[in-house]
Amino acid sequence: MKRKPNLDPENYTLPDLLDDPAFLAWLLNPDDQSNAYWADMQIKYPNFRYLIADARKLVLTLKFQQDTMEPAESIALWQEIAGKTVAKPVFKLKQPLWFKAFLAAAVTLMVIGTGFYFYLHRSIEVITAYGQTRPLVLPDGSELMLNANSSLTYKGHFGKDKYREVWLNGEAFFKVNHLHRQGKVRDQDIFIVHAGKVDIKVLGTTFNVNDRRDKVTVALITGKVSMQIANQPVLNLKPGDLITYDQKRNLIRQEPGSTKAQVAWKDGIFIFEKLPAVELFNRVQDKYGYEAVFENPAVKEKLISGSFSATDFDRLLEGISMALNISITKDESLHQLIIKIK
Amino acid sequence: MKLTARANSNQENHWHALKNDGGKALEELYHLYANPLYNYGAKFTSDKELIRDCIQSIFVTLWTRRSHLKQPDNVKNYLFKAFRHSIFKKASLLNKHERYEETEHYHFNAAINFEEKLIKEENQLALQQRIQASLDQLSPRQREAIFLKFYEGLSYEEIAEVMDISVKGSYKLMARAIDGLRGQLDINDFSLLLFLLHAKFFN
Repeated sequence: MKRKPNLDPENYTLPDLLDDPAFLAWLLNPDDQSNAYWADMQIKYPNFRYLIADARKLVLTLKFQQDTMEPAESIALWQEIAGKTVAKPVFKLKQPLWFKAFLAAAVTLMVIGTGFYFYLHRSIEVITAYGQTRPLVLPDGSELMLNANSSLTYKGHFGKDKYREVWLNGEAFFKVNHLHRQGKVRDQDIFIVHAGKVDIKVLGTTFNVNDRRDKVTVALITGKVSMQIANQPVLNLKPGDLITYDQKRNLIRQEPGSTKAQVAWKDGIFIFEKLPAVELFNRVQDKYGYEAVFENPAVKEKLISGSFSATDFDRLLEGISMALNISITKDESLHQLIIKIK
Repeated sequence: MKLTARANSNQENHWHALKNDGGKALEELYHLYANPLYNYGAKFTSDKELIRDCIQSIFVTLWTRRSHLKQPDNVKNYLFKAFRHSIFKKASLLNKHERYEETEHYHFNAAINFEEKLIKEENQLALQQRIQASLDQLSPRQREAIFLKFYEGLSYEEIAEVMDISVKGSYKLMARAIDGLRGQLDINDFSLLLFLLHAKFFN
């Protein structure tokens, strides 16, 4: 079944291109030289432009089926492992056993006695670095995934007869435990996310809050939430709503995108739906801390669609540069991305 | 490949940290590899409980034996290899008198997912079915080798280590797998499949 290679670039077809080792090498490991070569080929042979666009479309839309654990499943498994490994106490003193037991009991009592009050009322802050996401379980069993470059503060103990409250900077996906069974809603049934000037009040739902660049965006997946903004009427969201409050301009608007795309980051992918490049690079900066520098401002207006890795920075950049047909150079020292037209 | 080089130095750091300080490094290794291992395990069995048990047992072993372990060239490989052994043992995949390195009697399900939007186009659906059918025709070992190479990005040497075969054996296995695919598909589909498998690296 061996096919004769087609050596006439003008009549190249998609299979020819895919058979060409130089083409695959370029897709897998683009460098300045191969970028220049294929840019040149596109100018010489206009048909290449369509072929490459086709290939790119296929690349961006196919995935292997992936089996993963739910975040809660993964955390529970880690806790089980930790219980058998890192959390296991290790004694190295060579005292008799009764003495060790006595010592342990005395120390434990002391620590518990003095520390209990502070423990219950301590405030916990969890911070993620650029490029890092982190699953968390709150004292009430609610789960969340904290995105990169974000922080979440909460009390170590959600008191009885009190709201469950957390303070967010950055972005997080919440799965709040529903405590309200029936009858009157008690204070402890209510869960509040404080983000910038917005309070998001819920009973038990799944939703995403993004608080960056002076804008707070709430994406509601299931259940009900209400957004309380200072000096504004309370907004009740329904599933599928994607609402942004612009704190600088005091504007509220319903975004055109889908909530599915908004929360895809928690599964390690970015989904973009006709997103202007300038906003795309804002998100990249929020997550990875690299600022985009556009050598040609026209690139800012280009629209990008598709799904990309959100966990591997280099792959993400490769995907973006292919989809937008631009070259991105990473400047590690200045933490900048230099963007040029190919 | 520069990506691999960077990943390796990272892995060495984890390994080093595991020996010296411990807890934090184990947790980081867990977060890095628990889901890839789970994904790998799900190809052998649908018993999720068993997969989680295996993940737990290799991380516990890693911890208890950390002071005796030599530094492996590649932590990911070490974990995949230990995990595969664990799966075979716990799921009793081996028949009596069968050697671990040679067995062909196990399941390895590698399914391809097209994005929903594209499936609506009928020829895409047909294409997916053709590609899936050709993957299904392969032996489980061949499918596993394809998965490790194109999905996990392992080299031939690494595949050999994980599957407990010789390096030469891993080349042979892959060659037969690719021949098998070529025989099943027409040339257009075949190039497309190879391309998609390669493309996985930056998706």
